[in-house]
Amino acid sequence: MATSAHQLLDPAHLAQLGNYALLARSAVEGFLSGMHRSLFHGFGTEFLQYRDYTPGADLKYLDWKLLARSDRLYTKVYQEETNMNVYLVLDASASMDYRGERAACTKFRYACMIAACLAYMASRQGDNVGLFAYGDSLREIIPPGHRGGQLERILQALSRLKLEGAAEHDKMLQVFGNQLRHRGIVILLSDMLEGEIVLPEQLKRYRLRHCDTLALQVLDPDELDLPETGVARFRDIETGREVITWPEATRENYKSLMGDFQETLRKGFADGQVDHLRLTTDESLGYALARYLHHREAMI
Amino acid sequence: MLSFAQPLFLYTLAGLALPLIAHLVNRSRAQPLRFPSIRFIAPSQVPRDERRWLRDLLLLCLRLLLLAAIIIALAGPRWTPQTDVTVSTGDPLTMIVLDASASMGGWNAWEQAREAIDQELEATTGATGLVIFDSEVLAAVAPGGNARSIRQIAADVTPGQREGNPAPALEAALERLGGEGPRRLVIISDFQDSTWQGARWPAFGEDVELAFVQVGDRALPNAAILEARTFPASDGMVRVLARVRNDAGTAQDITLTLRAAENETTQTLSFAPGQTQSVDFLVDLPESLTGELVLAEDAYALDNTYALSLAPPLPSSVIAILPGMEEPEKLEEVAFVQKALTASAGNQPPAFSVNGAAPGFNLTEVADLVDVLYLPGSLAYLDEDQLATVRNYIENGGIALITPGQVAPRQFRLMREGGLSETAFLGRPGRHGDRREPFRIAPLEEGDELKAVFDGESARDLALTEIYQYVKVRPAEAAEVLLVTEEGDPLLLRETLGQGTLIISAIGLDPRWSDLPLRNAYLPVLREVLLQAIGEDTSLVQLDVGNPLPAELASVAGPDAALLIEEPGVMPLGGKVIQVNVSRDESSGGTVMLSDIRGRLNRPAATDNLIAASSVPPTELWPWLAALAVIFLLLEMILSTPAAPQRKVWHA
Repeated sequence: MATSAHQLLDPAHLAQLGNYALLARSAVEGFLSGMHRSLFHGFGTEFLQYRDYTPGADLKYLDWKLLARSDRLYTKVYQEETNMNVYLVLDASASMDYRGERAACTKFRYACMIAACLAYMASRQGDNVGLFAYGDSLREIIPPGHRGGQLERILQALSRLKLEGAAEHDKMLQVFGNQLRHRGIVILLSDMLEGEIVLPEQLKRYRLRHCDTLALQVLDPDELDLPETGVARFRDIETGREVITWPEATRENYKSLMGDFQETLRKGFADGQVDHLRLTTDESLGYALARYLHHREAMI
Repeated sequence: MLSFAQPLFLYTLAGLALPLIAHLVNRSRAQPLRFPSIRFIAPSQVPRDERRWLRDLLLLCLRLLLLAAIIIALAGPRWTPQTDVTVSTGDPLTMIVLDASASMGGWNAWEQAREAIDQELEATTGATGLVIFDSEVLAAVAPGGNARSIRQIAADVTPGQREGNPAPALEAALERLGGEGPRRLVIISDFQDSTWQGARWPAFGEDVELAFVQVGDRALPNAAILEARTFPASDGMVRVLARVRNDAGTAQDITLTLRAAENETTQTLSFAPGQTQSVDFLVDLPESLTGELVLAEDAYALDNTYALSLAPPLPSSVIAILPGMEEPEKLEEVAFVQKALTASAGNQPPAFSVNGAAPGFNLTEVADLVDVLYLPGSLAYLDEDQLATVRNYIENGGIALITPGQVAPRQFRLMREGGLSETAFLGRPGRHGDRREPFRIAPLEEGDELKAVFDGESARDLALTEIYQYVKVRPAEAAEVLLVTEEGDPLLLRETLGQGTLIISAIGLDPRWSDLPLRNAYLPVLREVLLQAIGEDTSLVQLDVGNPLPAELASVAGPDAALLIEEPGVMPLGGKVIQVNVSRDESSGGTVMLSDIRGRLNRPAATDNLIAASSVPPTELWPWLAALAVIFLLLEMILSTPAAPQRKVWHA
């Protein structure tokens, strides 16, 4: 039975693929083939493939040598090259290392899968793609580029990331901002906990520097309504603090506070004209890819 | 009163601690949970769910009750209504039970027993009774008789020659003690294991005081003649084979004498402690046909003599009708059978005498003297009249052994036409020539009659038999198959015709057909098959003193039947020979543990006594407990069923 594009983007399915390259290729190719068109093949400078000549095609791309040898008309297809920069900013703090019973993988793994897919997609389209990962300090930085091995470098960096400490959003996003030289798309992947004030402020600044910004908030379903369990001793992954509570008793209050937090985030991003998308780890990666393509089209 | 059939089971009630421990260990506790941020989680009071606590407690109680009900049910509880037993105080009733079995006549036991009675009568202040027994109650005096008369009765009785059986004496003692007041039972015996094992005794209850006085000096040396048998020997002589055991704790030389008429033959052998040896005598057959084996005097005199019949058992007569000149090779088969059967007569009764006869042999005249009619392929050459004679012989209780010859098809056809057997000839698989491997006998299975004879090495020897040829037959419906080939073809069949037996072999009994005649298994196969058909030799009836005569002989003996078995001796009766001796079980040097006897007499017995006293049967309580256990189980299942699943709030 053939695997559908929908299945290919299912995190439960993708989480089983240990290799990010394979994961990204199967997800993105499946996603694009599901759209029934190849959007960005054009005539750049890097040869991609031959295509049968059709009347009206630009004769400068006709391969004369091949015509001389085989007496058949072919045009060369080049991969489009752009000066688009895609910055993947990944939160690698300890709070991302959580997987509830309803989720297919941890939040960090989910974020990495999205990052891998976006990097693959950007690389495939000839964009320059870079990675900036942080927790309480800088973990990985790969400046944008598109030449050989760039995608590999990013995927390997994703594989070796370790989750430690609390996220220092303010400090680290300032560091990232100092690195930002060219216009492009900044994609932040984080659970955004404790960052409902700082993150919209920081991303708004990039916006002012002619960068398109996309804030992908990755949450576990448990974080929206608390896990279904009896009396539990909740221990904060980042701070180690504990609280004993009975979820049945505090669920409504929690949902209310979580809703307020989300609303604050939403308003902050809306005010800064930052696109905000909340994803839970049991949702398809297709939402994130589609939102990226939307921004990509707008930038061209 | 509540009692238990298996009170030891109640110790498993300690297992009730397990559910308690499990309950305490698994009590509800906060489960640790890592969470990305507890910023929005407010602490809450741990719920005190009274309903759940109550349910857990109920579950615990139900599980404890369920386990307890099962354990107590397995312990076999019984309820016996309390009878109105009024316990009076004062001097106890005492019953003395005195063993007068044959073994009490040795090892100085009887003298010691009388001294013990005297001491008991002097020491006892209450009423005292006495029961004396061997295989039955010899004398019984209820409590209250004076001490002098009890002493007199004990002095008048001497140990007999019978085996001991204390059960009737204990019944009599229980009856005389009654069920009320302080009671005491004194047993004076050598407590020899043959007397005090295996009997079903009454139970006295725990309130009867038991006292045991063990008499007899078992360290005194003794030797016993255990058994003796007579076998025929050549030249009008007989061979007597006796088994003698040295019961002494030291090695000793034992002299055994055989007295036959005026002659005495003596042999002296050295015996190790506890050793049993066979002693062989070869003597002329006396006219009286009786003899006696005698040992020297020792601690127990009654096993020093053994009366035996010197008349050797009559050999079973086998007449082989030869096929004559048609099949001269059958002479070889008859020779093999004759040698095998006569060779076995030396030490294993019965003996066989095998004689050949011409085809024209007149069976009718000597039918009564022939035990087995052996037809080695000769049945195929009998005419119609001879077949009818053979048939009559078998129908009147005769035994025929039939082996195949050269014309086996004709033989089996004649058997069918003559009304002898429906077993049919099918072919000769051994003669097809395309088979080089010999046929073999299939291993015997559990339940096969020959399995009792062939075990271990002998079974292996039988299985290794190589069969070169045999006749393939279809057995009659009623035929018993004694041996088969590995292919499943019958080799040896037994059929019943009238009162007689027909043994049909599918192979000849000489080395042309198989190598069985050259193997050790040959003799056991022949003997066992013939012995099963002939049956045991019933001409000699061996009895212990006091054991009743068989019914058919008792009717012949008439009023003297009881006298015949009172003393050791050999006498003819009703065409048979009766050989009576003192039971050799009484020679056994082993004694039982007194604690075992105490346990059996005091056993859950209280209820047994009450049964006798009140005639109210105890009520078995386990069905009620089983029903309770089922109810507890159902309640437990209902309570332990988890409540309806909580509403799940899934993130959309």
